[in-house]
Order: sequence, then structure tokens, then C-alpha cells
Amino acid sequence: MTLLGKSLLELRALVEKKELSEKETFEYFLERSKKYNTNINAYLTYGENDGFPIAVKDNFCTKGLRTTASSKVLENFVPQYESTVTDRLKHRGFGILGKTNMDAWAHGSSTETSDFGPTKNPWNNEYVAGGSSGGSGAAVSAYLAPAAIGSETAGSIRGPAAWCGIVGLKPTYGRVSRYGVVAMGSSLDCPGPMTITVEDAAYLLEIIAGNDSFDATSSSAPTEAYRKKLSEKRTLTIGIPDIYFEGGDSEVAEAARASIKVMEKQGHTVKKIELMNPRYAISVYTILQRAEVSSNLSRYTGIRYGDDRSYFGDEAKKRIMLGTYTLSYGYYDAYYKKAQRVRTLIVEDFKRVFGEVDVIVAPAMSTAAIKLGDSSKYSFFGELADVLTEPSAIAGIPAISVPVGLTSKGLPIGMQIMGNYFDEATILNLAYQFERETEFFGVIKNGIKNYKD
Amino acid sequence: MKKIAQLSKEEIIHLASLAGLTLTEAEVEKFRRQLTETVEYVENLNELKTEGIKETSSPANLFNVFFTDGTENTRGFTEGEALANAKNKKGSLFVVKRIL
Repeated sequence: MTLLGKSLLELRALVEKKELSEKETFEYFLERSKKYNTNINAYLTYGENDGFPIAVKDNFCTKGLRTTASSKVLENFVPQYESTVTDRLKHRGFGILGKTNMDAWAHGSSTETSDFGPTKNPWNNEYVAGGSSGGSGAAVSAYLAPAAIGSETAGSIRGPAAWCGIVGLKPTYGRVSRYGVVAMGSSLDCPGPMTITVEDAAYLLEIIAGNDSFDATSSSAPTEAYRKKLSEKRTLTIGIPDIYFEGGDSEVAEAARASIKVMEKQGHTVKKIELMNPRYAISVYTILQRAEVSSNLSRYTGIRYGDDRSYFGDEAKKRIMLGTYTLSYGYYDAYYKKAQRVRTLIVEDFKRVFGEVDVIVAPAMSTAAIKLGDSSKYSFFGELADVLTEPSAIAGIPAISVPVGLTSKGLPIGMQIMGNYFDEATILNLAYQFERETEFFGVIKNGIKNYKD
Repeated sequence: MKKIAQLSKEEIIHLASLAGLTLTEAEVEKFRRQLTETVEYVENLNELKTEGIKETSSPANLFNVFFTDGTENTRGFTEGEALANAKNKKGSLFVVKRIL
């Protein structure tokens, strides 16, 4: 039986029917991963064959399995405890296939700040996979895992999903527990699934979502039967913010516009909306995230675990220092407080728009993947690259990125559907309907075809 | 927002010391340039009126989340677990720099 290209749920169904064992499935993906990882560098560490395989970003603490956050500081760190997300997955029969490469501490949007080398884009190894969950994105795209878990602070799931041509879901802030995730921006961080089908994403969200007493910011709002709700026939009002289509790559904007036409033909109503210029979100995000980074990374002293602060890479040092600056006496009001106030304006902006529409659709990233090395031309590349994902991340609303085609260079293009707070069900429903209609124009299938068994 | 033209070399060195980081001469200059550029960019927030707007510290908007009385604490390390990742230890203690 050929397993290549089967979705996570298809594989699990085969295991349930005893046509395939978990061990065989794990072995199959492990073999593929070892074969292709030398080129792609998606994995940093492999796990034990003790469950149905899933790849997990290396910032989730996995008990007894090395967790580095792609930083030399944690090169030899073996967690004594399990993150809530991986704990919930293990309770549902999953085993960690491997820990995936990322930007060190999740600082970046290209996986080039990893202290263990960049992850290559499976579509073209001269290009980046995106980041920070680049290893997870590349692993799923090249079918080196049936699915992966990533985390997003602003763009770190949607970005690599778009650039590697797969499905990436960033849930509402607080929908999924952050317990045991190496913290970056604590008021922004969201774990989420990266998959080859929308149904797989809904399935994984059902497993990992829900209140956790170990994360005081996790929400007690009830979760939904996300999978069941996929097939509900719904007609939605889709908001289109023109400003999200300007200033980027025209091929990307055109592909997103063409996909919106498909949705219109499916019976949805399209409505123009006004949203605040996302370039303000770049500033809010830069200030707040660096402030939170400087606080979160102060714990790395090399005393209780890990190595000392001389092991931090350039990007971490830069972020810690800017965060220290904006939080210091005399500058706190000018930067940090100001950014928190504009954050309120961004939240209100989305709340107003969700009074008029059910979802918002736009390109996920303003360009397709960039060449390896190109990000170093910018002083704060990550923040500029993630401009279209930052407003929703700052507001804390959910969003999903899906493939909508390829550029003339043959690189994937991603489109995002943003939804109202805790309304993952609606964005998944629309993404699923769109998938049924278009099969994402063959992007996911063709990506896998390049990586034969 | 105050207008800050440039970050000085001294400010970078001071920030690094506050953050417990040691920088080389070359890093001081590189970060001075890059951080100045970043600070200049974020000043675009001055274009927005924010008087009287409340600050948002977290989109979750939760306050005072407590464990209920009698909740059993299922977390916590044994002494061995707590010390498992420490590079420098003496018996059952972490070794730190002299403070007093």
C-alpha cells in the first residue's frame, strides 16, 4: 500500500482498521525524514517510535526529549516536564516523530536565525521555508510528517504555511495552552496545527484546544466540534481590506483575488472593508514583542539549566536590548504604553469590522518565499515580512492560511482567512469549502510529488 | 512620544549591561545602527491619536485567575529532577556566583 500523500486522518483510519500499524507509520515517516533532512534541515532531534507520528516545533517541552528552541543556550536541555499540547497529543496516541527547526527562540520569519542552520524551502532549496515554524512547515510540505505542531506570535504559523504551500491554523489567543512552550511574547504566543488538509487541522485543534489550569491565560470558553462543523452549508459575508493587497508582490495579490472570486461563486457575499494600515501594527508588534522577549529571556542565566547568556545569537541580543530600552525609565510611556494604546485601537478596529462581516480574507504574506540570505539586508526583517499577520496577532483573533497557487518562479502563495474571537469553526468551514472546490489548485499534492518514497 | 534621533554607543553598552549581555566593539556599533533604525521606524505611532485610550496588555482580558481551594498541585520536581539540567552543582545545590 502506498502511504505517500495520505492525510493524517486517512492514515489513522487505516490504523484503526488494522490495515496499517502505528509502528509502521512512524517508521515510514522516520525513514523519509532521514532521507531528505540532509537537504531540508527540518528536524533537529528524532523521537522514539511510541505512537502515531507527529512533528513538533522545538519550542514545546517534551519530557525526556531534547528541546532547544533552536538556540545554543538550550543545546543540551532535556525537559523534566511535558507541555500541555504534547501531553494532550500523547494521550490521544501520538508519538513525537521529531522536533523541528525554527528561528532561535522563534525570533524571525525565515528560520535563518536558528543556531543549527536554516531550514530550506522544499519547493526550491535556495529559498527559505519561512518562520519561525519553518521546520514544521517544510516537514509537512515534503511529507516528512503527516502533520506538525507550530506556534505563532505573529506570522510564525501562517508564514511558513504560506511559503511551503500547506494549511496553517493560528487559533485565538488563549484557545490553546502555552504551558511548556518556550515563551517569546507571552501576550501573543499561540500553538497551532500545520497540515495538508483542513480536516486534519480541525481534528488537531479539537485535541489541543481548551482550558488548562497550568496556563492562567488559557480561555475557559467552550471548544467546538470543529470537524463536524466543517461540512455545514454556510453562506458567509467576506470582508476584503484593500490595503492588505497593496504594496506587496502583485502575483500574490492576484492569486488571492482570484480565490475570493471562487468563494463568491460558491455563494458567499464579498464586501469591501476598511482596516487600519498594517504598518502601524509593525511598530506595535515590534515594541510589545521585544519588551516581552527581554522579560522572558531574562531567565536564561545558565544556573538551573542551559548555558549562560554569552550563548545568545545576534537576533536574541538585539531584541533583548530593544525591549530593555522601551521598558526603561523615561521611555516606558513613549514606547511601551503608546504601543499598548494602539493595540487597543487595533482590537477595536477588528471588533467594528466583525460587526459587518463574518470573516476577513487577504494574502497571508505580501510576497512568496525569499532567497536564503536576503533577510539579513533588513534591521528587523521578521517584523516587516509579517506585516499582514501582525494586526490579527496583536488583536488575538484566529486565522488560517491556505495555498492558492504558485508564482511564476514556482513558489507557493498563501491566502489567509481571519475570524472573530474564538470562532475557529467559521474560518475552518470556509477553508474546507474552498478546499473541496479547488483542492488548493493541486499545490499540496504537487509539493509532495517532488519527494518520492 | 519623545523624539529620539540616535542611540549612542554609551546607551548600547548600558542596555547590554542591564540585560546581562557582553558585546564586542563591533557588535556595539552594529546594534547601535540597527536599533536606531528600528526605533526610528516605530515612531510612526506618533501619527495616531491615543489620548484617553486604555492600554491593552493582553487580548485575553482576564483578571485574577486562581486555583480553587483544595486543588492538588500535580506539578513540581523532585530534587533530582530540579537539578537534572544544571551544569554546575554541588551535592543537592545549584552553584551561583557569590552575592554578598
